[in-house]
Amino acid sequence: MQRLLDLIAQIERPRAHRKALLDAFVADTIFPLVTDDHAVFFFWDGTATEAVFLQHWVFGLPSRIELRRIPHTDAFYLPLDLPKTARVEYKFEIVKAGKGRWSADPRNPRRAYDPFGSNSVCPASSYEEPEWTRPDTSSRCGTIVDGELHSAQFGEYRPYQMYVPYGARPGKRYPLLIVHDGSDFLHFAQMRSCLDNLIHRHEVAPLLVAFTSGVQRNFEYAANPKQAAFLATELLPHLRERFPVLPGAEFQGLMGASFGAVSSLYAAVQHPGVWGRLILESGSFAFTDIGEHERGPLWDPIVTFVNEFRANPPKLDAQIYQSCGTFESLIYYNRSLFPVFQRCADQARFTEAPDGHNWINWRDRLREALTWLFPGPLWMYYE
Amino acid sequence: MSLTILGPERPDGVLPSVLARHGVTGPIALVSAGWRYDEARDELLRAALPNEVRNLRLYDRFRHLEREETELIGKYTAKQDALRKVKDRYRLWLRTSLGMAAGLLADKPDADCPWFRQSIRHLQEADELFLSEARRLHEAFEQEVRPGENPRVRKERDEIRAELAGCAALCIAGGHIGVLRNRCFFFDLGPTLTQRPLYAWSAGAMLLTERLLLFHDHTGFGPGTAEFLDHGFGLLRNTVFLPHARERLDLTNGANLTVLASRLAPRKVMGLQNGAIFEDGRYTGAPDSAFTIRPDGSVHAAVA
Repeated sequence: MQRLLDLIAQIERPRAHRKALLDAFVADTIFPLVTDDHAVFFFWDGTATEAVFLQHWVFGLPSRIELRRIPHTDAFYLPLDLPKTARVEYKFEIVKAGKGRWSADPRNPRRAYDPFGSNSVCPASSYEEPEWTRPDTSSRCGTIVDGELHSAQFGEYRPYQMYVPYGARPGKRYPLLIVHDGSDFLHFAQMRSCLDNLIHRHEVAPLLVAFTSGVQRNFEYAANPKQAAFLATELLPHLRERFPVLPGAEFQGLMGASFGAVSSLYAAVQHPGVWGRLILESGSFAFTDIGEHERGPLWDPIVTFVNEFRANPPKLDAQIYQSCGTFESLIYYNRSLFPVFQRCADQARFTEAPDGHNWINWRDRLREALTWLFPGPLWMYYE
Repeated sequence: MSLTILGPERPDGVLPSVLARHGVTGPIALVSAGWRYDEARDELLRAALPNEVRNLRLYDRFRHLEREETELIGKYTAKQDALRKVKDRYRLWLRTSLGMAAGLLADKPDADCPWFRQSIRHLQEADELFLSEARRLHEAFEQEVRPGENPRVRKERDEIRAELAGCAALCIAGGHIGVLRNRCFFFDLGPTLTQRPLYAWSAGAMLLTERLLLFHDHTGFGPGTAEFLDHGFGLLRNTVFLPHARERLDLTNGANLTVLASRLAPRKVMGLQNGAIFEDGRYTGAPDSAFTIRPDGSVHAAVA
């Protein structure tokens, strides 16, 4: 921050060579400027600019914050307090000639990708990308097998991708995890590398992981009985027929983020005794204590389900790992639901992370979730 | 018979220099069953040693039996499943009891407090109960199934003994302690252990003690709950080895160390690092490569 204040002071001097000062500043600065517990966002592209706004998804802050102009220039900046281990995804809204357009931060090469494109990333001073998320050439890699099945529930073929761990032996059986939004978890959360590394390091048990994706995703995942029946009565038997799945609910897990978490929990409630391991990331567990919700008709079945779940929690023979970003609007719902899980599930664990509703947050929680629900033989290895 | 215990042999091993110093020049029998499906990948050891290395292939032998002696292995698996069920109960007890001991110590950091001592006695009783249940299951299997009378098992055991007879020393490598222990006991390696110089490291070193403790403070979801796996061969008494203790234990957490070492007392708790060497009970390794953890939670370097 001090460097920016020095720049502003120099720019405000009479006869200052402002463009040269800005050129020198951007040449040797990493953006955003991050210090101990705050970040400074900065925009300057050398052309006339009327205004710049920070667009982000941090619940609790105004979602659109105007950057301040450095006097006499078209450069803008915005200081923001940030917890040390936080990670923020953002875009700039840049207004030129009366028109605003959204853009990634042109001076920040760090990007996070999702089905809608990419966002710029601002990691706070103590955030470190977990090394187990990156491809590691020393890790033995599992294979991905493509498959499909005809679903009577949906009246069409549904494809899936099955991760088979390295060294899977004939005659041996393995736990199964079914992942909602599977294709996105593979693409945007690097889940294949994560599995390879964690299994290779004995932290996670060799595991079969079926990656599935919805077609009308939001409709199917919103506490939909068809999806729950598809998982328990169509996909699971199909996978058990084709892959060496260990029998027993404790070896059968469901995982999902956002609406995928709702679908996972709903499926476990609808088909008790089938799913003994649940990973619920940033669950869209909206509920009402009184009055109507304001999230739109898509959420109606979810609110009905969660209201009923909170009023009469069923006994869940399951171990539940739950996580949510503290920057998400969903944090309130998730915090409220955790004590209910503690009462009705065999075991429940909840992690809050200073991050948002995004794939990297969901990726970064995988080690904790998978090692807790499907612990590998690390405990047993003394090399 | 001489017994040499080593710390972890990775990344750099001391075994070649120790064997040379001991004048062991003949063939070496190797047990690497703890490496599981990598059992046969002993090329690094072969390259490091001038000795001929004869791998006893215990993991591979057992896999053949799995395919060919399905009835026997089915009964063996049933025994292991029964042991797992006992362990589930043991773990439930430990989760609660360890929390109680840690809570009492946090409230009053005094390892001599009678309430803390009582909580430790409860833990020790649970450990003893689990280990006696494990022993009962193993003995019942031996008496009822008599695996040693199975011709195929007898043939494998005879081959192992014949292979050993021509070897100048036996080396037991580390790896998966559960697999290593179970294969060594299944093929009845116990009586052969004292017939020639014995070298063991990491899980191999643990195997020679009376009881095998599993521990790890740095799992993906935080500190694990230390628990006994089973009995070892008991060649080394009154010692619990903790290989890679610096990496696996939080040595800055004195309270946890107090609970751990108090629970294991009167046995000596010994951390083993790369470079540790005990030759017939005498420490001859690098100064910082082995240390004891005392019941007050303090850590002390091993001395020669």
